[in-house]
Amino acid sequence: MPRFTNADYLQQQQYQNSSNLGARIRLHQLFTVAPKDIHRWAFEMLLACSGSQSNILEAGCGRGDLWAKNTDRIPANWQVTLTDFSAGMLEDARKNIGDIATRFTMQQADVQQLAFDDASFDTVIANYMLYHVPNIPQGIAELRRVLKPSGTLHAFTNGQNHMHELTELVREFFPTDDAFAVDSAANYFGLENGADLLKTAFSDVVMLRYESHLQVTETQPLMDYVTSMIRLVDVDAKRLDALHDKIAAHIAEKGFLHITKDSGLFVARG
Amino acid sequence: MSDLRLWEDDYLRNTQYKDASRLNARLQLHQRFSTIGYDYYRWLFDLMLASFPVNARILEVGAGSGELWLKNLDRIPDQWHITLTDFAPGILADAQRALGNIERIAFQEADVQQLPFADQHFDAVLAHLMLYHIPHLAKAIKEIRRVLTPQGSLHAVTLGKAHMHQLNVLADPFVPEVGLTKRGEDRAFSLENGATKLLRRFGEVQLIRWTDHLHVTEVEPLVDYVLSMTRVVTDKAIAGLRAAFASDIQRDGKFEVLRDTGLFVARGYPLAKE
Repeated sequence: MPRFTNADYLQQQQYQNSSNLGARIRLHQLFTVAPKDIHRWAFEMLLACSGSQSNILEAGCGRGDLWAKNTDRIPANWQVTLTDFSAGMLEDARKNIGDIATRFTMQQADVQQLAFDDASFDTVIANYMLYHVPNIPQGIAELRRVLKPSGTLHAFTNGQNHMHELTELVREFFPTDDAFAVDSAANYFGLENGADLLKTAFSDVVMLRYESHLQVTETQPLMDYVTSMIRLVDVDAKRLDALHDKIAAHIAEKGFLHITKDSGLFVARG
Repeated sequence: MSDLRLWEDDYLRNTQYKDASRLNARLQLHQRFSTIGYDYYRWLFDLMLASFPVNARILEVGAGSGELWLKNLDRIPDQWHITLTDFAPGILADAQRALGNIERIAFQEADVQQLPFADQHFDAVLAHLMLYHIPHLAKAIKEIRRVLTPQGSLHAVTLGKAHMHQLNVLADPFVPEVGLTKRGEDRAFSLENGATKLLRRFGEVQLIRWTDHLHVTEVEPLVDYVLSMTRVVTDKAIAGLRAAFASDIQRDGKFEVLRDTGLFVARGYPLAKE
């Protein structure tokens, strides 16, 4: 099984807590050129779709940035449930979100087998996570099951071109590491095949692209990003140094390294 | 109400919205000098795509020159059926010229206080920066609720009191007949009072705000913006506005104006009274 969907690896190593994820989020936060913050934009799409009395589930909440970045406008009558299959990640989400998390229900859960009754939620969120699920149709079916008939699913994911410049750079130095293999996130649940997968359980699916790119002006945050994904036990320090030098040389010459982001939101209902 | 003349049907229909030219003077300012890199009309359309059904029947009241649709021509879903209405035939004709080749868009002159559509005919209604113009606002909101399906939603965009405040304060002495500042404070449908008015006919309302600043570095777009709202254009007013804006831009490198707008999403029915 590729590491990408290997639950033991994801749960016990990659997402034991939010530190690996944090290294990747940090790169995006430092260097994204985007007209609007993605968590603000994503929350606006939620507000437009969800009534003021809604019961909302976020499955695979990660460190809870969607909520942490919008504490100023979470409707008072939203009942929010956050789940993640990593207990350490949930603990970090609780800290990251702060006081308002005391209002939320937080529960460790596998999206393929949710402990909620049928038709429990008005809105379900599954951002940047369905590509990790071993049985994606089953995960989607569970999300549909716990949604009310009139409910809406919001699912962000990436496309085939997402950060391809970085993938190419890393593969030059680490040709066998599957975290950067061509066979990555978008092949499992990406912008290109996501609608078809969602249509196994939903009748209406629309995709909204979120346009942005990275303009990286420092080498270290990018190296932290890379090491958050590769298998450190196998790492040859010389190759890491060579990668570092190549990136540093590019930034010194051009002023920055441009990295494409190819990201979007599926909204599914019916 | 501040300047009654500005709100007269006749003025709006035959002068202000006779065609798209006055509206365009205002749009220009917003589009050229916004400090958010994201286009406001793309954002509004994002919210529509996210919340309307894929086969929605959509009514826009007060569609003006159709700017929202022109800015999103690349992504109007195939299965949407769209009816654009305006009570000013001149501006609707401008929209039709620009969008008339799209089969799934229909055009119709209509007054939002008396819509020529059957009950529960639309899945979604858009009312973009227009409800504050309506003489009988309560009647318009009732009409919108009537033509919506039970699950349908209204997207109504309006302005807050602070919207364009710096510009209003500076321009007021030169175009006193418009009463810009007072008008901003007295809107019949605003970010501050809109939810209460909608809740008389809808079960619930969410407000999603769009707040940013314009950094305007040229005088003429500011002058055009102000003049688009007055009927009394004098050389003295033009000269005064030019000098005032120029002096601020020279001093600060820009004229900074707050934009305070937002979208109300309204759904459902009010609870029946006991």
